Amino acid sequence: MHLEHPAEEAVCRLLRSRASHGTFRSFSVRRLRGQLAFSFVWLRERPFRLVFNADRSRLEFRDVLPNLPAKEPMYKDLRRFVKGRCDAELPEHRRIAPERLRVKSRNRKGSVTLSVESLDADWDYAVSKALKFVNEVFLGFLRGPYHEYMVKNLGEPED
Amino acid sequence: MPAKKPIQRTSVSRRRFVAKGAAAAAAAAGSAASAAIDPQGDAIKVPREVPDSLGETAKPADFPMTGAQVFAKACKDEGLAALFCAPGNYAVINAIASEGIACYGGRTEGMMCSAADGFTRVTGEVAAASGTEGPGFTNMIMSVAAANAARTPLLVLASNMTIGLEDTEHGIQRVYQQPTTEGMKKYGKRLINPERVHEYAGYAFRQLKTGVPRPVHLDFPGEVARQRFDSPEDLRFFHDRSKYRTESKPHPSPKEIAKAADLIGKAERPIIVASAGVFYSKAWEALRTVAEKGDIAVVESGPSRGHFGDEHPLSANTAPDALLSADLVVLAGQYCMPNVGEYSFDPDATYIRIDPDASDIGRNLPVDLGIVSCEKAALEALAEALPPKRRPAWRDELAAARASFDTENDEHYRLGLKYSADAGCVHPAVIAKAIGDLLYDGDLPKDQTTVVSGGYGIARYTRRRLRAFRPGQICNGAYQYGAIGPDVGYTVGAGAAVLQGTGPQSPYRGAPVLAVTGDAGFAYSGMEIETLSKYRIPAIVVVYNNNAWGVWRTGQSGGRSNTAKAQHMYLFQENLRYEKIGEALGARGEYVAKAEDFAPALARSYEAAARERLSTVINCQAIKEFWSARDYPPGLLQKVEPGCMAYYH
Repeated sequence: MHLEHPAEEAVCRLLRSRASHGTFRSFSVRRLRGQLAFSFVWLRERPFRLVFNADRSRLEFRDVLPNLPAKEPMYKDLRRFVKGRCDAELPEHRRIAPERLRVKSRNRKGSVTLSVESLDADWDYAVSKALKFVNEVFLGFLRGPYHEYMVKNLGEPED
Repeated sequence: MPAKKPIQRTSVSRRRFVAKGAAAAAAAAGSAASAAIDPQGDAIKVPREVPDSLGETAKPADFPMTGAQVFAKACKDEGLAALFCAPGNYAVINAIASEGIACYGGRTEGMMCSAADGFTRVTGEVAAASGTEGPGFTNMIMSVAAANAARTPLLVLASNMTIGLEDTEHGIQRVYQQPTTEGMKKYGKRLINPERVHEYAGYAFRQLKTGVPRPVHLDFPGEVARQRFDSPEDLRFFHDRSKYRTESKPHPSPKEIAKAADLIGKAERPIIVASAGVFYSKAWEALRTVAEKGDIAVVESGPSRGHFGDEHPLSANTAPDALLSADLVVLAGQYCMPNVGEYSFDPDATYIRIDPDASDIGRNLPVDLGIVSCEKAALEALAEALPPKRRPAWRDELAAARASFDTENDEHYRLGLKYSADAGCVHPAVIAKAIGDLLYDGDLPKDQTTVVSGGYGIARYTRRRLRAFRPGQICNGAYQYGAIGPDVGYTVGAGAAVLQGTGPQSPYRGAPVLAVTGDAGFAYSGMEIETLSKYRIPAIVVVYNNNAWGVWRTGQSGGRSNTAKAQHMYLFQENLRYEKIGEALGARGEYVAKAEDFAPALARSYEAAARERLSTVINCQAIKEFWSARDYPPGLLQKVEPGCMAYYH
């Protein structure tokens, strides 16, 4: 695949390294309306779609949380959690520096997309923090009082 | 290993209790039997034959011997620590008892098999379970599978008809046993050649005592058990164990240890996941040395807890939020391997795995360095190779995470008190807090009480409050296989281990054990309260009674299927009185329907266990709706693994 932008090359290389390491499985990349679309199996053995828009310096994990209407308290909690990723009280290795990355959640008809936007074009930092961010949502935030949501939507065993 | 110390009772009684002697079980059962004799003759009592039988001196067999006796002698020579059974496989169990191996007879083969598993989970020593052919054997299957998932070195024995009538349906109870345990054992064999009985005992113990343990299943046709041998020459194989197996362990290569030390040295926030292999190789001293030398955090996983004490400043067992900060993870003896994302670690963390089985390294989770070694040998080598290093920021982060976890638990308790008052019953957070207060925050030595941590929803609360301060202090009942119900079976085994003072339980000989279970689980194993009472194994069994299976929401609206039509299948009759079952089986009963009544009931029960060796069933009345996060937030709690909440891996 022809990579048109140095940023694309960097992001592709960084994600591929996670696939070679074995963290991601069934890894693939294709071009989708001018953007790079990565697919891989990762947390909870689920397929993830990560879209990189080089023009906007944005990495988007598309539709990571299904069936979560914006009016639900859980989504409000998620927004607080997302905002809290930049909290100055977090240790540096857990914190997203707001001057370097803009972190967001977006809800479209109950489907939640998580994204980070690089402000300094440091792709090592952006990719690493984007992965940590989603990892924290799955292994931190979702371990809150959302057992029923997990069972219904993310394949959590009832037992 | 902590020094042997006197057992303390609750604050209700400060009189000290010192349990003595190898015949503790026999003496206890004997005195209790006398105390229980009722002139009316209709009281529940232990028959005199029980203490008399327990008090009998062992009569080790010598030639001429039967096949069963040859096998039993091999078990004795191998240090088999205990046998748990229901009658059947008579020649073998009788021979094992005659050898002087501690034996316990209970009410079902299945739960006696769980008892053997529980015994091993808190001692690290091999125990056996036995049942009769056919139904006795098949009754053990759930427990064998659970032991297999937990990598328990469990010796499963069963009689099985005769070779002469193979493939017929002569008589009753015919079943092909070995295919039935396929996939849930390390090794199995139907013994078909009587002259090789000792050789196959060697096969069994070679598998049980080397590498990664799992159950070993032997089935005994009548010809093997009954065969008479006049001298060792009649056996095709009769060697000392030093000739048929080795105590040698795989050691790590210096190059790999140097690489591990280098990786650890470069890490800022390293953590060791200390799992089953650390416990079974008795590597706790080496583990502590490594942790302290390098300021390396330690978190436990596996079917038992306590090989790295929760009170240690480097313990991450109760610091779930710190796990995601670790940049290097050493998996030590993690036999039941998690997959990517099942453990709460950073996606870019570096992984080192220490395991005696090279063929398992790299399964499920990518590793950056594999070390094929006995866990103890590897940790000792690492202790030598690691340069001292201080990581104060990492220690601070662990401390902050522990404090945050405590705060969360306190908030659950605050809510639990409110919900208890609102609903007029007992919320699980109240039960969890009271257990923690009694065992760790009162007059009892924190390391005294061995706990069987079972149940389903209740366990989500109690695991957060249970603490382990020494090896084998917590048996993680619902580990991996997730069987709901063997908890009282595990309690028989763990209680027997404490009563005998086996392995790491030695300093606590005779102390009460505490078990947590649910109303659904109690139905599977509650009859073994009778076994606890018969042997005067002092136990407190806390039954969380919410009138339903823990997954009742699945049949209502919470699950994937979402059909209210199914709801009735998830419910029990309300207000069932499990404590009365306890009373009917020779134990005490406590009924608790108010939050404020639980702690006093628990204290009374501990006192009765410590002073009179009486077990108690505490029935805690709750409501199923406590699992609803909408009505009673946080509802059914989730878990973070590894650490104190873990039970999947």
